[in-house]
Amino acid sequence: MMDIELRAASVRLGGNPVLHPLTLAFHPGQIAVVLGPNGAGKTTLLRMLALLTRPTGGTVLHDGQRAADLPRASRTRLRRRIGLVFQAPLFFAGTVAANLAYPLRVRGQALPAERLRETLRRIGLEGRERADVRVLSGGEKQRLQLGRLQLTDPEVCLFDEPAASLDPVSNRWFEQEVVRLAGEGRTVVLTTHNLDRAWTLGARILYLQDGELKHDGSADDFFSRPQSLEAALFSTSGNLLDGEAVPASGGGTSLRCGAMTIALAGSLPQGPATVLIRPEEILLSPAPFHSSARNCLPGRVQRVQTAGPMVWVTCDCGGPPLTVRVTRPSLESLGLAVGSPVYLTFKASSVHPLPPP
Amino acid sequence: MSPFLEGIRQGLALLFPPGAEITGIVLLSLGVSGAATLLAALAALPASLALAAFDFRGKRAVVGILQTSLAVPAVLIGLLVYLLLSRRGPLGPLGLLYTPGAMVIAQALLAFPLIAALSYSALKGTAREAIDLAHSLGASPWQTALAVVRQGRFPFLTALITGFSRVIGETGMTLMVGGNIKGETRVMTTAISLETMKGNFELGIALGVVLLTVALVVNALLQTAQGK
Repeated sequence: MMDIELRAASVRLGGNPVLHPLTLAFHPGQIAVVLGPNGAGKTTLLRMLALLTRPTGGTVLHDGQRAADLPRASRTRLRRRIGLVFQAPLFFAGTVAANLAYPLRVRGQALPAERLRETLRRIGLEGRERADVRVLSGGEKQRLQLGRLQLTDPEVCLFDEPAASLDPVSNRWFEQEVVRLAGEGRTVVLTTHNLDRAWTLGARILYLQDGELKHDGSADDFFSRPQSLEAALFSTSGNLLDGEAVPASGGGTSLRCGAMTIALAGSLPQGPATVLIRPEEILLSPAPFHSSARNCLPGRVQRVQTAGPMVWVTCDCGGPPLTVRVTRPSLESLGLAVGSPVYLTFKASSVHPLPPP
Repeated sequence: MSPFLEGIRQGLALLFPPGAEITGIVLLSLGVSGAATLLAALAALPASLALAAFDFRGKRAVVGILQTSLAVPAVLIGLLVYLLLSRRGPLGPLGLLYTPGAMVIAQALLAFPLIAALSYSALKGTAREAIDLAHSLGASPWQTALAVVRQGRFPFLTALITGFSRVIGETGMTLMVGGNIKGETRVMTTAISLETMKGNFELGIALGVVLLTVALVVNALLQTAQGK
């Protein structure tokens, strides 16, 4: 199984930096999810891991070796241990069967009929071996790409936006496949815009922006305690509050934000500050709620928005509106409606200050 | 009967069955233009592949020159080849002027930019993707090159046919370097030109029918190959 290590690896295309020097490593059995806005360099990073794009600076080590130093035959052998699913599905003109057979053929192997049938069944393309790849739907093409990748048993599995065109059922199936691939000890890296997927899959989140790595850590850290305003804006539909950090009466720091004063867990230098409070970390109650939580703000319900089994309740507490996420049954049992007086309770440790830009 | 219809009747009569002179002219035409197209294609295929697949310094200039050379009149190529091959020219000692060899060289020079430019514009959209795909699937450099050629074979075939059609219908340049020598370098176009000036319309019409048939057959073959 293969480790991939980047040492200040960077990529410039036509004089423009696409990836700034990156130093990080990918390990077998681990799923790394690469997040970031369009143009952040996600695809370039994957291409570099797949040996399709050479770093213009620094080093990329596959199993401790620099691919560029290897003789051609060894480089081809190294490539054969890596699989990539392209963002826009890529195939050779021809049939489904010919495309599945190609990666084996270049390795001097055949694709036995039994194995072809089994693969087609697994990716939901039974009986379609003679179909021209051009007639497949977007989702079918993505599944075919996954089937093609699995046939070669790669030690490194790279996925570029694999789920963009998958329906919900295929999506869950795909997620299971990715987890299984990592469980078998493969190195898995995928890029996505689907934050829910990132959260369910990602033991590790890499957040790229403008070609720079802004976050490398657990999904929980990324979503609850983002390291930058950009990461917070990208990752959250939470409450981002701008205010003024002031010393609190009982020591520590408070954030003054309109008429609201919010207690923070740590200390913060005095002056303007931005904090994040995740909507599911706020407790909603019709009467003051007595607990160890240091923040309990009175307010009024401004808006109620239903999203499936969850409800977003926006409240006015004298500052910028705060959004709280509750389940539908709990909203019903609270008996809240627009205009109802309400109390918002949350821990000081749920108020996450963002580092200044 | 009008002289026009009479010409067509007599022309067709010359073809069924074809005489030795017509057969010789037709075979020489096909041979010279086929060889020229093949020669040009042998150079144009790797050239267009390299242009489509790689970025290098001065690539834009190369593409610019290639596209400009599409506009070079055939008669200028004829002049160039004539000067090169004429007895006092640098290649004079080869004694190629007024031989089928000279016609092949001139026609190949005419066909090369056409085939290269057409296949480059068709390949530049697909070559890089094909390379990425083949690489990511574990193909060796040779297997990758083969995959790219396979992916681009239809546009390349189309370029080839276009090149062949261009050179087999070429007259002035072929006349300049071939000389239209009866039984030696007389091809369909130069024969039509000469016979028309002499007022022998039947032979011209007969050869014209053959030229049209060749064009039809070649294009039918191409469409079959493309599976349309």
